[in-house]
Amino acid sequence: MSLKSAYMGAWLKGEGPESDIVVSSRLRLARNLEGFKFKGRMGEDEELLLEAHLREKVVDSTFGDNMCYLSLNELDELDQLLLVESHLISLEHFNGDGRRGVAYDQSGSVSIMINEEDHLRIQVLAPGLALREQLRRINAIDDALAEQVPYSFDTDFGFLTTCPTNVGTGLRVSVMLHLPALALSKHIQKVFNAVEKVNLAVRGFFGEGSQALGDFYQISNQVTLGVSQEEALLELDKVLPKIIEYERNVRQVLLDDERKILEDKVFRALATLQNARSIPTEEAMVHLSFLRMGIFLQMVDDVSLDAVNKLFLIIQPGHLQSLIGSELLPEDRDVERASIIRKELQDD
Amino acid sequence: MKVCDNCRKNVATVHLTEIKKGQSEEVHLCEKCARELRVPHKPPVSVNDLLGAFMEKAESGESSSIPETAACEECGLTFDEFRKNPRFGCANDYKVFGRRLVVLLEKIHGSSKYIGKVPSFQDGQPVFLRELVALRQKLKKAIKEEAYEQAASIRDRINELEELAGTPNVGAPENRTRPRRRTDQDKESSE
Repeated sequence: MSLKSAYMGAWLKGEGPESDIVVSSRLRLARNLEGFKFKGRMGEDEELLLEAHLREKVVDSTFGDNMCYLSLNELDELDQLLLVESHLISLEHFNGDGRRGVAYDQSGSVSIMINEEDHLRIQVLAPGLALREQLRRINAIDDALAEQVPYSFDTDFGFLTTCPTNVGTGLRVSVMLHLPALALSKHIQKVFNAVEKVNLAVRGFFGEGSQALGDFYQISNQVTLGVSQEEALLELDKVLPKIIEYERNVRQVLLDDERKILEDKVFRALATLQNARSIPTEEAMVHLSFLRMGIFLQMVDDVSLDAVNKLFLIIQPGHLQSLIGSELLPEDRDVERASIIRKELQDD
Repeated sequence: MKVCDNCRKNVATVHLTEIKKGQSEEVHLCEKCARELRVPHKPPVSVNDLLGAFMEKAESGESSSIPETAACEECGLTFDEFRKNPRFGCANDYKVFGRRLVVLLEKIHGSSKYIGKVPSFQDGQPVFLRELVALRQKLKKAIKEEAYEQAASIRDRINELEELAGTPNVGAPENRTRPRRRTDQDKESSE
């Protein structure tokens, strides 16, 4: 399977419940196998053995549609970057060392990282807000794997993980939100404060250790010990509808009271994207963010949501260079990026 | 129109929001400075920073009989090393680090007792292990509903099962003693 099939995961389609605000729902489970030391303490031989063993189990499985496996050690950096940008591997996996890899399905909605910080990181990804459905899905994968490989489990501490912040359920639920109106009206800090009060975390576009890009923020649970999976979801249930409503309300207020200012933002963004001859990723993300909001507010009707969603992915450095077919210097990337955006918005 | 935060000359066209410890900070840069300064994926706050803070809290006022230099017989990790880089080396560390670890987990998660599903491979093990995990959830519910009598009897049963399981439970010596009558102080600490 070519890496190109990692393009445009189904999760980026802009579908699903609350998709005007909620981009995607991502759940992951951290698991380790009995009888093996954890990642940092394994020798190379042990890592190789574990990779081969787990690879066989996940590729032969029916966890996703046509699972394929890629060993990161056999990929060049550009291909690895594609996987990060498609959210199939974490930044930590990309920056990691030793024998490691990832199995993922055709639609990019299931990925299983092997030898990341833990032996197994199982992830499911879906567009919109779909936590319960995705929890059932990830548990089905987890239970099936548990029957084949004995997990490191303790009745006191639950599933044992390399990092003490994951021990217990090993479950991290991250919901990616698009909050341009809250950011524009400077209300976003209130959201951060409220979220932190209830033990949830705000993270950037690529999850842990990344920055917010284009007004996309990930909200995720922190506590994994002493709370069940369901309770972790309930914590998110308490705040997510409020944040979604808050963003929608602020959008409405801006529409009612500051329509011209809002329109100006949206159409300047569109004009920049349609005309720029050189544009860095961050700047493009900011404009695409306004454009995405403009489409949902029905200000812009000649650009499709699909085109914007696709652009969010293909303007990232890895995807861009892969499209062009060669490695480029940052300034050349900016020129190519502007050209791809112009073409995409013209075709649309 | 904003001026670049870095060179203070050009017009800022790149606007970044950085989240540090829950505070958002806006940075406005011109394209030239943005390009020069751009450090891709720089972590705003690392897990290690966070754990370092917990670690300090966990250790202050907590004495432990286990020497920091005692190494795990399976992976060789000492608590001293773990403190510098909070990553376990193997499953056995969870037993070896004892009380110190329990204190750390309570600081991070507010609890040191697992609630949740038990993997199927545990099916071959005594049924009471499954019951033990399920009872913790019931205990939590009873305390939440202020059904203290029920909570006390659940706690007695949990203690019995933990005794039976011989769970290392190095961390919670108080749980090994006979269950005490609930006091207001207990009530507060459980909630």
